[in-house]
Amino acid sequence: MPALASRRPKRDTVTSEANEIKPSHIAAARLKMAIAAREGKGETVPLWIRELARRDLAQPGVPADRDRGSTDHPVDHEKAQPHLPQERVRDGNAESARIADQQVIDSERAEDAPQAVYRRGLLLQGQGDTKGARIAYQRAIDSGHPEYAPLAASSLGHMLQGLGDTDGARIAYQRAIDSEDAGTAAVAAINLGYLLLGQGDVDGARIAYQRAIDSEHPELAAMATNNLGHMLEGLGDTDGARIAYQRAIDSGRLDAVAVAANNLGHLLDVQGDLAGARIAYQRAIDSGHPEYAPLAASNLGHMLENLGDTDGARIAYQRAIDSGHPEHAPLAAFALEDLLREQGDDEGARIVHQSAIRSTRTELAATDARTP
Amino acid sequence: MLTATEVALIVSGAALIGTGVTIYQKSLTDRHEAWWGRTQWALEQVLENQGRDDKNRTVGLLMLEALQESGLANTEERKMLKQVAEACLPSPPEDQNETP
Repeated sequence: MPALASRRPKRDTVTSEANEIKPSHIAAARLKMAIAAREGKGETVPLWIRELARRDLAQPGVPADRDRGSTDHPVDHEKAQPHLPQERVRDGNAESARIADQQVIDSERAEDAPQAVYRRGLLLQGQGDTKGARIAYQRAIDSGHPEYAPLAASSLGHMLQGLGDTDGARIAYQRAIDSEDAGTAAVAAINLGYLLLGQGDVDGARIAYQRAIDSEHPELAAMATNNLGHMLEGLGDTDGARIAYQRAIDSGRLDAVAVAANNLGHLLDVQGDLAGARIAYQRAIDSGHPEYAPLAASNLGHMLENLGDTDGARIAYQRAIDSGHPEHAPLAAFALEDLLREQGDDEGARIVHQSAIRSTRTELAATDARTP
Repeated sequence: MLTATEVALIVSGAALIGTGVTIYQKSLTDRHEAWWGRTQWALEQVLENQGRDDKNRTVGLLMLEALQESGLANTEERKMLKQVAEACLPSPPEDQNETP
């Protein structure tokens, strides 16, 4: 570990005369929340830190709106939103949605309750309350509802997988796979395949992915084909991997095309087929996918830089930077900065360095604009 | 009624991780070194601007938030970043003595 890691700063204190919330306090709270959420411990973070994390960087002195949906676990919360009563979600009023769902649950209408309980599970998970989410998901599963029981099982499996409870996740996924709902079964099969692969159960993973492929669901089968290709690549079966990636690309489905083209590009790059790699990366870039297009642009930049094509590399890195992706854009900017510095273009490197800072968060732009 | 697209969003979370083994640089070591270089830069923004330039400090912390999401970060490094975050928090309100 580099020496800097041992340089631990003293804790900031807020004195009575400087009892003000600064943007850095909010950023620190967000960092704390993000790490806790990743560890599945979002609910253990003290309430005052959660509320601090919800404040606006540009207006740190304005208290968080208590009625607004929590951002304890921003990524999962966003995923949960489409499942909430839409009019309330648009209003940003998650509490209102929760109350509405509770009313449905309390009314014991057999047709509506499983849906409401499932939504509640998503909401609680999004807020970092994994214990509450687990109870809600289990209630939806126990309802036996043909749609929401398997959906809850799949979501429960995904949550448990994230929490490291692989045995629980396997059981939940299997419950969803065994259901009559083909789409949800395919989702669970893909996630089970990924879980089993992580445990070294290659045969089990292959069976699970094949199950999703056999579902013939246009998007999910293509995604499973990509994952199968990635597994084959890891096993050294590069021919099988190429075929699988190409099939996923041929599906024409955005997610599958973007990720499989990027993966094929890397495979061909490693194999020395640079022309093929370039075409594949370009395909991923042209997809415009928010996650994989910038990644492919950066990968292309690295490949071209290694080939000595600095002009091509600069263009590719710039493409990734322009995407504004929170991780790929700044990393591409740093790579371009290094490239420019090696070429003696210190001024260009300095400008790119600044762009790396600007691309960290769009919120930062608002802060820059409002802060004297 | 939920659509298949909404269900697929759940898949993408896992699939992103599954295929997230895709590559920034040629080897894991190189990629981790690059990750650490960015992290070190962000840490410097946080540490060197303590009590001075809050804007740069904020930039560093936001950058750390983005970097900790990377699969390249290991448990020890995340623990260290968590400690940095805790050190940068203000004191808790008087009615909440809970240590973060």
